[in-house]
Amino acid sequence: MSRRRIALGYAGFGLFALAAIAAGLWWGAARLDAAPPGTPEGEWIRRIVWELRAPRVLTAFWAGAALGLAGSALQALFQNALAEPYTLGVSSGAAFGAALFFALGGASGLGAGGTALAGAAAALFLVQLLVRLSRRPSAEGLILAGAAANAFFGALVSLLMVFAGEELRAIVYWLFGSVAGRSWPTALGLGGLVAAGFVGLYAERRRLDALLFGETAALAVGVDVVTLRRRVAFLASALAAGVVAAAGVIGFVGLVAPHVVRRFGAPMHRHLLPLAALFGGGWLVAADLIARRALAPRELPLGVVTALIGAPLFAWLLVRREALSGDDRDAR
Amino acid sequence: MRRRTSGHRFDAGAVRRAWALALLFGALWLCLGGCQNGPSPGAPPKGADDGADREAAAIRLVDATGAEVALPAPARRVVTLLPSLTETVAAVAGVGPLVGVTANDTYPPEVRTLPTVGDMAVDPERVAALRPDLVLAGRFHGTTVVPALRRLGIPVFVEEENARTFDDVYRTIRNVAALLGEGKRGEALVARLSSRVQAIEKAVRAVPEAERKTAFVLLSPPPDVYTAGGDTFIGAVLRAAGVMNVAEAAEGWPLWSAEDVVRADPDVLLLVVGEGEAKRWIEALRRSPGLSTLRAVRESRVVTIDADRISRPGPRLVEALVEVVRAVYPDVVVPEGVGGG
Repeated sequence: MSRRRIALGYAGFGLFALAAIAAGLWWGAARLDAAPPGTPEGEWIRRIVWELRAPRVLTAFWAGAALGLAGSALQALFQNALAEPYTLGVSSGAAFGAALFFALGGASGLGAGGTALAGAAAALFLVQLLVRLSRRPSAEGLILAGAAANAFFGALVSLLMVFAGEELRAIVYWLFGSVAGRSWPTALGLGGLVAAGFVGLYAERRRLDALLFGETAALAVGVDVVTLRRRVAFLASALAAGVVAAAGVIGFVGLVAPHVVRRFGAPMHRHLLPLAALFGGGWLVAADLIARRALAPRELPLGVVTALIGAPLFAWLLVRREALSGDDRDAR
Repeated sequence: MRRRTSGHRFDAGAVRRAWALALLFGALWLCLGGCQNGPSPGAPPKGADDGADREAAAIRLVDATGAEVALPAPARRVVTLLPSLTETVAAVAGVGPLVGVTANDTYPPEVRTLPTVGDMAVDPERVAALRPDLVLAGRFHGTTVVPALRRLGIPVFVEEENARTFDDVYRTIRNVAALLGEGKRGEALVARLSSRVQAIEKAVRAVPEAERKTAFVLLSPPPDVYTAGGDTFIGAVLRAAGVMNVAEAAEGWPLWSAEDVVRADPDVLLLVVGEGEAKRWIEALRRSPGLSTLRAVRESRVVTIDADRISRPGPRLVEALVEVVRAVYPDVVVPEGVGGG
């Protein structure tokens, strides 16, 4: 692949993310062009944008970037283009972890983040175990294992909601996914998590590339596959859990982002990781804009918007059974 | 495409660097966890006011989450996030102070034309854009909406949305009235409502023990059987009306077993229905294999109660009480309120 195409990729995905952020900051309930700066009305609108809209847009961006990274990592880990935190049940596991914390009367975000990570890791472990135990490991087998994990943790969350009483509605809305009303500390904290997760995964980029050609091939070039799997699983779980703790359960972004980047022609992790993060972030900011504006003043749950677009793509991928390396079939 | 991976060995230094970064990652994770506003209904948010406001505040009240809310003057631009709070504002100060409500608000009819700020999910930006000097919210909004508005310095008073008794309703009326600088009108309203409730309770007590009725509350059309437990305001209305609630011992709004309803075979079935839905519900009851066998259904002792009135713990809850008493004990003369309440 040419350097030119790569440069084009960074410029294109970067511009897309910037445009989405600019649009997300511009459009909202309070119109920035309604009053000039300096007037009391104008200053108030600018405060609303700075205190409410900016952290919301940034939280959406980082959450999308985290999902893009986690999706890319999980797809390499399982050598399967259908893998992502939502389809593998990792998000459900994280949701159960956090919901359990709140249902037991916990109040601190720290505790919820911790239990979300534990839940995400448990779900991912369960999926890995199922894949390992199944007699004929296959692409479909992984998705079935993910479906099993999803159903199991989803049932546990439903069980919690039966007992949650008055907190029920808060949990339900949180599960649908939303970035409304997020604060600067949330946006910056999630940003830090994404930066660290990116660095952690980027350090493994060549080993992840090797994994795409199968475990045997990776072993043959000297990759410690067991350690790599553990590390990547931890990083992907942490990213997915961070998103769930900050923004709820948001599906299919982790599927769409790496897929689009691979279609563009950048299947190697050196470029796949940063581009999937850029695209995932921009994509979630755009999805949040749709959630806010489509039926204003009503807000759509963010997870509903991403699923409406992501689920058909998932179905299409399932039918096509696209190859992960993406260069053999339609390099365009 | 070239495969650069083949033949590459990886130096240990890079791995160590990666793990140092992972440590940093962990630290940031703690920060994220510590700072973010997850759905923590029990978390007591800090008051939004700062020192100067605190000195000058004319009105100071502690809300349902324990936060102190201070207003420099009675609120004049109010956004309400729950229909029951909208009705309470309207009852003590009219619709004048209201500048925004939710899409679920229907009463008084004038509020339908006000700007809306969302439904169950409220957009804090939209609330802020209305420049309110007070926002009345429920505990349910405490997770993200309330802290977001307080960051902008907008006073937010959180009320308990699930009143359990009439006293809870009175407390809400007093709080709202105080925040609007209408303390006297609030007291007068509470006095009127409570004397009416007491008079009704007294009248119902005259019904002989043998003629007391049992009732089952249905909050959803069959086949779903959701009901109201004894610790809800609907439970409180039934107690005041001298009606035995089949689900009295239950808490909250449980999903009930139809078999249990058939076994209890209550005298009356109370349907809590929205406008124009009664017919559909009663048809569903008659088709329901279990519930259609109830005496109450066969002998047409199915009573419909206006959902807006009985499911909003506001001033109109007393009207719902009157409705229940008139329907269940038609022979009891319901006393008129003191001062035309």
